[in-house]
Amino acid sequence: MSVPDGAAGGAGAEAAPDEPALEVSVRASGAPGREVAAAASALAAAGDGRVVGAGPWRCTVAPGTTLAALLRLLGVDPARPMLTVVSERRVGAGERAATVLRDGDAVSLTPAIRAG
Amino acid sequence: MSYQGRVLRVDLSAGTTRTEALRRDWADDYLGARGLATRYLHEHGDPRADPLAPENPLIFATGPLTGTMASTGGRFVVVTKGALTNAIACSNSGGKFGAELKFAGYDLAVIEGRSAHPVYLLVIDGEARLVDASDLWGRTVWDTTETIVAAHGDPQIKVAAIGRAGESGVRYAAIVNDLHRAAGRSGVGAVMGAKRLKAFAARGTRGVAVAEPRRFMSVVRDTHAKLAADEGRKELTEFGTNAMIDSMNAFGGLPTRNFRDVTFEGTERLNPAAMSSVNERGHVNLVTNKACFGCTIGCGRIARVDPAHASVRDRPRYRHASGGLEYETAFAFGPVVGVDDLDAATFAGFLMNEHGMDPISFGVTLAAAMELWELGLVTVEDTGGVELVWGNGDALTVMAERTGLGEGFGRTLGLGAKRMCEAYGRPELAMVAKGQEFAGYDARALQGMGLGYATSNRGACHLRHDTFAEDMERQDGTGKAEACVRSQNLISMIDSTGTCLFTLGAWGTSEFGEQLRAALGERWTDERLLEAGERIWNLERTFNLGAGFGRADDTLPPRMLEVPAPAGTARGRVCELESMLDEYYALRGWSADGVPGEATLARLGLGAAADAA
Repeated sequence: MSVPDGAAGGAGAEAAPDEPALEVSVRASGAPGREVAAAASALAAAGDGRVVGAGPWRCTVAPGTTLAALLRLLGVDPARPMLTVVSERRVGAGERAATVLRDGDAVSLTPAIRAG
Repeated sequence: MSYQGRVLRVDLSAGTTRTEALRRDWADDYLGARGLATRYLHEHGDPRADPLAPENPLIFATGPLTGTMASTGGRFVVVTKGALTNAIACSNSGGKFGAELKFAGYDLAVIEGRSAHPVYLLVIDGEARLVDASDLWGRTVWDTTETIVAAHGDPQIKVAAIGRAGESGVRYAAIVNDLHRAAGRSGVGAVMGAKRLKAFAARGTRGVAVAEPRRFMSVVRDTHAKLAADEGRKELTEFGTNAMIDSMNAFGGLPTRNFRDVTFEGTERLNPAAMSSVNERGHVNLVTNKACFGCTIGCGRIARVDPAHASVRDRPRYRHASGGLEYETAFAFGPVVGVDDLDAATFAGFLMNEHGMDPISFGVTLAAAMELWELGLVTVEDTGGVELVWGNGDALTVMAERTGLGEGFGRTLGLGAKRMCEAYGRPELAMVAKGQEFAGYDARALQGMGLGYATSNRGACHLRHDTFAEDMERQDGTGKAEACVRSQNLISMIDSTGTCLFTLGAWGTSEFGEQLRAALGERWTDERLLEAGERIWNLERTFNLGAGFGRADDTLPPRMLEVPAPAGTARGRVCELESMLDEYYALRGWSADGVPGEATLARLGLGAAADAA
């Protein structure tokens, strides 16, 4: 399923009664990791329980939520240069807005350096 | 301009040194460092020679931007025939030694012969001499460096030295400069040891003149700014190259347990976050980052082993801060041997620097030994009681030390994975190309990397090409040959400037070109720079053909070609090497056997070179 980014089912949307919320896990490192940690702390301080943990994080989102919407919830610019992998599938920067998350997805956000 | 115009020629057999003029005509075709040293090797070396024989030259070379204000302009290379591979070796290092050699008045040092007794080479402001090093033989890199600096009463002397590993012929012995930077790959330290050359010390106060100083400063200001703004650079500065460990693990390209697996369960105990965290005893591994000469990236890590860790608890010598984990050392002392002990891995890195060894080759060789152990082919009788089981951090550090000291099973590990696995009758377990161990990237997940490993002139290497973007974009072999050829040529050029490959991303050909034109003159157009890169690659290939290499050597182990990746984004894939290789040869203008065609050689001005080989 693919829905327009930020449309019904975005990260902030309430799940309809017949559509249970999804839970995805997020691992993030490097600069994306720092941004997620900051956003998660801010959400927790505000009493928002959608993001739990201290890395990896457990995120509760509405059905239809896209990867881009999740990234915004986590304080990460969806256009940021980084490597994004969702359950063993690399998601390019141009695909983040059209990638709809599924229950149990494992999301990974890591730096885009190409050295070592 | 930008060259010192002087080449140091050293005959160790005769115990003499002399200075000759730089071949400007060669510099005009090969730029400097990697390219120019390859041209000198072609002139003075024999591809068929035993790499440990006196007639194999050992060449230290700087580039035209070494010692200038260009960011990262501190690089030097060591070119020779590799003791590990029997192929051409070009090992690149940072630190401060390269700039100091240039300040001492030399672009290159061509070292030939074999000394009757241990010596070190000392160059100070245009004067060179050989100094008896009998009292240094058998000592570590660290002790040697300290002793030479103290002997001359000048803390600014920079030293590149071998440790016990280079003396005893560990096939992947490194030359370590500035205590923890290294010309690490292909066994250049073993060549140095065979010459009984313990160290090369340099001190200079001469500047480096550029053609157009004002323009150069302006261009350098711009290129510094581009580097400062680059996202990849920011990650390197803050997290170091070890940021890759999480990326490769997520991608499913992190070689684990001798490349059987592509993900590792223990990365969060080895990654940059772990290095910066306070452990249960209140210790923090990471001390700071560190930059090489002129570098505005600072990807290097300085770390300290937890003094309570078993590896150093009774050894205060190792409680100081020194070179910490970078991606390749984290991979080589972590996933590939199944170890998730940050302190053991850090300590193993210290031992590599102290004894002078390549961590990649050591780690991958130990991983192969662990697989041989699992198969019952290596036993406790072989190892002196050490259990080579996956994840055994004690085995990692004990074997690192025994290899460095040339003791017990360390002598077997010192052969490298290829020779060791052949000796045990299981050559397919050596994760090597042309006899050199793979770096920390799986060739099934990163197809371009696989092609790069197979075609690298110095044996498997992740730094001879740059196909990361293409490998991340799609995971089959499509487009990888073109990207591989293009980036091999580009990097051959970059390695010949005296600057660091880690600028790539922020800088492209035009940024290198702008700096080189301001330093050297207008003749270095972007097109000419890339042509020089292609010329260098082909001359290296010609050397290897002369040494007996061919298409059959441009290959990978069966594990990469026949066994599907077990997990990750490339789950089920094998490396599509053969089809990529055909395309690669065609793009290079080589025959189906991998021999450069006459038209290619003529276009690059290499006809005579091919004849000589």
